[in-house]
Amino acid sequence: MAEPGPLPPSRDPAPAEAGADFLTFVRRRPVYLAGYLIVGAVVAMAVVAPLLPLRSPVDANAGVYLVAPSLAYPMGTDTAGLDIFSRVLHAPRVDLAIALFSTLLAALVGGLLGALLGLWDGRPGLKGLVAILAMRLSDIVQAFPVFALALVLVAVLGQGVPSIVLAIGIVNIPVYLRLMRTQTLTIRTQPYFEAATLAGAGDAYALARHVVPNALAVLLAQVAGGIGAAVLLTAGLSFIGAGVRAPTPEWGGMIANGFQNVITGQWWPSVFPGLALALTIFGFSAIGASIEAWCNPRERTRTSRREWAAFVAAHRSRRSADARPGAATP
Amino acid sequence: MTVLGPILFRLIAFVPQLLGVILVSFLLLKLIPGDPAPMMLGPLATTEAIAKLRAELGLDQALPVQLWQYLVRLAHGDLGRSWQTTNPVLTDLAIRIPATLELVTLGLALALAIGVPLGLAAGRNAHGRVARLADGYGLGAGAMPDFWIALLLIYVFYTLLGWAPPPLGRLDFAVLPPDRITGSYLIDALIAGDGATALAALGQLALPVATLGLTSAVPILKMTRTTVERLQDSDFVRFADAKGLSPARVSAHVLRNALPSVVTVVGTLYGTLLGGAVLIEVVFSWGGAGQYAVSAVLNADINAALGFVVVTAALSLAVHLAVDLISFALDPRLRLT
Repeated sequence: MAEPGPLPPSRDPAPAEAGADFLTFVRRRPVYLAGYLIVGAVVAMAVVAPLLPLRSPVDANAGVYLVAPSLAYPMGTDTAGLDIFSRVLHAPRVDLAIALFSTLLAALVGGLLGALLGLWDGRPGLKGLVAILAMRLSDIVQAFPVFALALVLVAVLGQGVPSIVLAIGIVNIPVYLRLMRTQTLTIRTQPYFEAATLAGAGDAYALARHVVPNALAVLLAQVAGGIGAAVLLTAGLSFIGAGVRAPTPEWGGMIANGFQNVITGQWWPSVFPGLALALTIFGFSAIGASIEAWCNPRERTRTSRREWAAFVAAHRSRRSADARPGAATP
Repeated sequence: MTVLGPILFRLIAFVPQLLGVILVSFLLLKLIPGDPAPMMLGPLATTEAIAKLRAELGLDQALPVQLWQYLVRLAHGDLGRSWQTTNPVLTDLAIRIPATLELVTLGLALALAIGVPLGLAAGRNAHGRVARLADGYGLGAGAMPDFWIALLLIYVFYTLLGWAPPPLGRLDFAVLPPDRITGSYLIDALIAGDGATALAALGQLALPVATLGLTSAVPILKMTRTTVERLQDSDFVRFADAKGLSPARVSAHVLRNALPSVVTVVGTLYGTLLGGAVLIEVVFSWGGAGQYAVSAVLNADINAALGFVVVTAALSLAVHLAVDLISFALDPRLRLT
């Protein structure tokens, strides 16, 4: 809990926090903190699930058909008699792996391409022309609805995990391309960059020394949120049967499996994997949002709600009618 | 440049965009490993039919020639045949797209009704109760997969409460569909003056529209809110506040100025949902273009799958065009640049 500062509350930088580091920043914002905790838990689950004393996530036991959640089966069993708890814990192995690799693919290819296009933008000759044409191509790829394009890519490439990784990666390339290009265009106008250019820096040096380090945080924010979106896309593809195939534990596929049961009243086969999926997506987007806020000076120094509440509580007695919080003049 | 210049330019730009979409779909076709002809005709094709299609596609010719032939076929509205339905893909899609459009349009209308007022109120008072509510809503609904929300809604409103009809398509089997005019059962029934059928169609629409509305409201809410927050600091708002206008009237002014960004985000959502409502369609057996595409993909019906993606991309280009034209109308400054 923050100590009440000596100055009246405002949206301007609070001196108490001016030197705070990223950890404190996150710790003071429960939503961001929750994001890191959830993602940490999900990653841990993916790593240790096979080591835990759980029932097999793929070997069916037809004797325990659609058992409601109980002590023996914390999340119940599905129509095939599979232990849902074990399957929910094993699922991130597939979901996270696909999301991670496809996002890395998109971020590496899209990011590098975007940075190059940003450097080449407006240059005479072939490079300038390539910069224009590539942006138009990226526009066109973005005209395709994301899910439809991923679906058709899987159809075209053939079903299987590598195809899903590739499909989700390709669909997301334009996002990173656009982001890095905008970043590069901004960095290009900075004096340090102009100085480097005047000193004779080439494209490769400029990329490595100036563009990548300065754009990294923004790129990371997008990557974190992007992994969540990729998990959702993976689950969506599996939900309709175009993604990860049945016995492999995967959240989207599990939700689809339990669909008929939900209609007849057995909610557990679908609700638990959906909950895990929603929490995971939330976790990644909270991490993305935390990095984004940290990169934005106004957001970084904004008094968090918790600090605000502490301040208001400490000053309630002294507060007069005209010093209402939120009415601070800019 | 005259006022008409940018508008004309935007209209002309549609043509290369459409050509680009076609080029990308051609590349997708070329991505198919091996020989596409047997895949297009399906498992029941004869050897002669495959040989004939191979010649028609010009697979033995140079790539530019193939692309040209592809363009000529598209210009004739020929997206190939679906081997599953044995109909031309364009005919199949023409029957199903109105169902998808009906769903997506109503879903977005609901999303607007939720997102804009919430975003406006949250943006106007960044520390108020509504802002907290909006924060929570954005976090909650923003992370939940739409197909999962659909399942929860079915469980609560159909299984538990019995208020909603079974999630089995656009009309109950016992109800006769109205004469086809627009392809939307709701509108067609209303045109025919058949209240009971319209009500039945509306009942079927309720849950899928609620799902789309609840999830799509999140980006609309966020966009409205950030735009309104930015406008809060602008001179005209401060002036309006300073001269003592009622908060409601200031809100009206702010809303008017936030409209262009709301329209933009709705356009983007519309484009995404044309392809993304696929999951909702599957959950509710909607029988629209999305479900058609899923069955095409699962059964390696390449013509149908590619046809779907080309048509939805073209539709979303058209939506973006419409959005830009509406933005021109809403924001006079855009017309001058």
